[in-house]
Amino acid sequence: MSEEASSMRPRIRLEGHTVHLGGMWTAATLEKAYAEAQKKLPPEGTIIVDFAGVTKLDTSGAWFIDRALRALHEQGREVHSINLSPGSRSLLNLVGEQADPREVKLTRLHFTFLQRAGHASLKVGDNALDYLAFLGETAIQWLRVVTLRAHWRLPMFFTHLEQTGVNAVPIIGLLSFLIGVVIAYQGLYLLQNYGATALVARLAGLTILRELGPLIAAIVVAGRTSSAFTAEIGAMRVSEEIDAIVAMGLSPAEMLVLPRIFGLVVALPLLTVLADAAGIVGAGVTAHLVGGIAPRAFAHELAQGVGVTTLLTGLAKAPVFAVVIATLGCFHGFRAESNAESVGRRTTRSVVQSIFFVIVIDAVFSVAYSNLHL
Amino acid sequence: MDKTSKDYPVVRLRNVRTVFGHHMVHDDISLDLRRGEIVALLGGSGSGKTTLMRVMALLHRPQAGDVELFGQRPGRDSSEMQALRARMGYMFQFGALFGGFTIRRNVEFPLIEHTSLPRRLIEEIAQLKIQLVGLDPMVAGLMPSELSGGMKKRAALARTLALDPELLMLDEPGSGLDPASARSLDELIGRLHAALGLTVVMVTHDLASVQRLADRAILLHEGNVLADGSPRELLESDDPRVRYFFQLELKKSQSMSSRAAARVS
Repeated sequence: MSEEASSMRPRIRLEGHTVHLGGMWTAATLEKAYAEAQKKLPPEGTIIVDFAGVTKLDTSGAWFIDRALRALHEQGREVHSINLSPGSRSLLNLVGEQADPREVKLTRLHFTFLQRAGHASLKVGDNALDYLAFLGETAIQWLRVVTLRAHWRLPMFFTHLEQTGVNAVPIIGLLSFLIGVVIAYQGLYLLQNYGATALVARLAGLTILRELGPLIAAIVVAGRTSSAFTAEIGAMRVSEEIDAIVAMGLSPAEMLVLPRIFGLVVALPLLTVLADAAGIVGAGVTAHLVGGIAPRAFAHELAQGVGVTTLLTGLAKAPVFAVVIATLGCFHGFRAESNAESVGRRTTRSVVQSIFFVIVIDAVFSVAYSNLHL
Repeated sequence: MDKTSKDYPVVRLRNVRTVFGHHMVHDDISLDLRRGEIVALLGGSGSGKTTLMRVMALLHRPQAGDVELFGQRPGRDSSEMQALRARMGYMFQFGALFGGFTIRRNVEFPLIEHTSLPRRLIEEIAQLKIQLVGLDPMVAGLMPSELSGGMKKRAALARTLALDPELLMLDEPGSGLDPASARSLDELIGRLHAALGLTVVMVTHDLASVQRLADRAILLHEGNVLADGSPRELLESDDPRVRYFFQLELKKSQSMSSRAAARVS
């Protein structure tokens, strides 16, 4: 071992009733002394601790020595410290004045599985009520805006329209196009067994316009936008900006939530139309390239099999999805606590719940449409 | 030169220039902080006190100039910078405690990461530091969100002291504390300074604390060092700008104490 390294490590040497300490006693070097210190104490009688060789002492080292001295005192043994530098002495005094940290027992709450399950289910109910209250507050603010007692915040509305709508065009267009390709591929493969490849236009048109177009647009928006809403509003909570709005006598629901909802309610149906169109184009291109169906024939078949009603049944879902996604995103933002971790957790939750409810609502629509014979 | 000798500068700034956008914070600042000094950085709001301390802590890279710490000039090598940072402690203005950890875990954190001590000893050392800064021992089990601003500040100091840094940087340690707590915090810093031979830099507006604690005060004004000397020298300075600053600050603290006195009576 090099000379420098050996001068750094804490040393304990026993000589009669004297314990000679040497080297550095700091948090970084203490580990080596830990085991050694237990063994090297004089068996009985008065102990003299000689600090002459100590080159450096910090609070960790001082505590380490102090706890050993406390243990000796408890055994009723007399201890004298000698050759202490003034700094080391005042440090040992400072540490010695403190109550024994080992005696502090921090109580941690432990829950059984049943308690946790109960707690979680109560929380679900609480959250649902909270969400309902949030919807109520938003609806009241909406009424105030509609009756012109509060502002339509048009600049904010256009900002959100751009962020949630225009900026999502490339990803939603591309994804829907690819889904159209996949459906046409699978459809052609299935239908050629019956010599009915021409029907692929109806198959793709129906699936995309009714279900997949609205769903893909909504799921992408749920991932992109509800997370953004939660993170934005959550960060404003952390920096007390929300409190500032409230303290100025303004309504965060009116200023922050409504423009986001309005923006998304306009953006999502438009994105759905885009998703429909891109999906149909994808299917048409595939039908032409793989199935040899001329675009004109594809369009004709599409017009025959799929009416405006189909388009509208799909489109009608989009505003509902938009309200759910926007309100959930904002709701979780407001429920975030003022720390970064909570904002992250809420963001995750808002995305998962948005996607979940989009699919649940889609199922509800299917049942409703089939009862209405649409 | 021997890097541990008393007169080797712990921090050496040479011609530091810091610019945010079009706003120049530091024009040309050069100074040396010697080992064992307690230095107060003074100046009006926006005079670049905190930024200067961030430059010293290698948290902000200046546009021009050199920073030397413990006699070394850190390059862009991140492991080199990490090693230097482990020798200093920085207490942020609002504590910057980790919100997901209990207070004790916050204080244990640097010890766990930087040493290989047994877990039990780390727990004891962390608990000791929490008590040292004057917090109730049971606070250790609470989360940062359950603490008041002043308690957070003390907990943050406990975390900053976890590894007994050679260079302690404090961003407004007394703000948000009542006068008695601020005084006892000063006392603690003074005792630790005496016992450990710490070098302390602090940004502060509390002139009473500067007079109690600091060996040296540096007044920043319009991006430069306007005055540098003992607190007494600065208070007795002939420079009208220095006098003006102290008059304003004194008036502020006097009006605060007279208001407090009025409330008491």
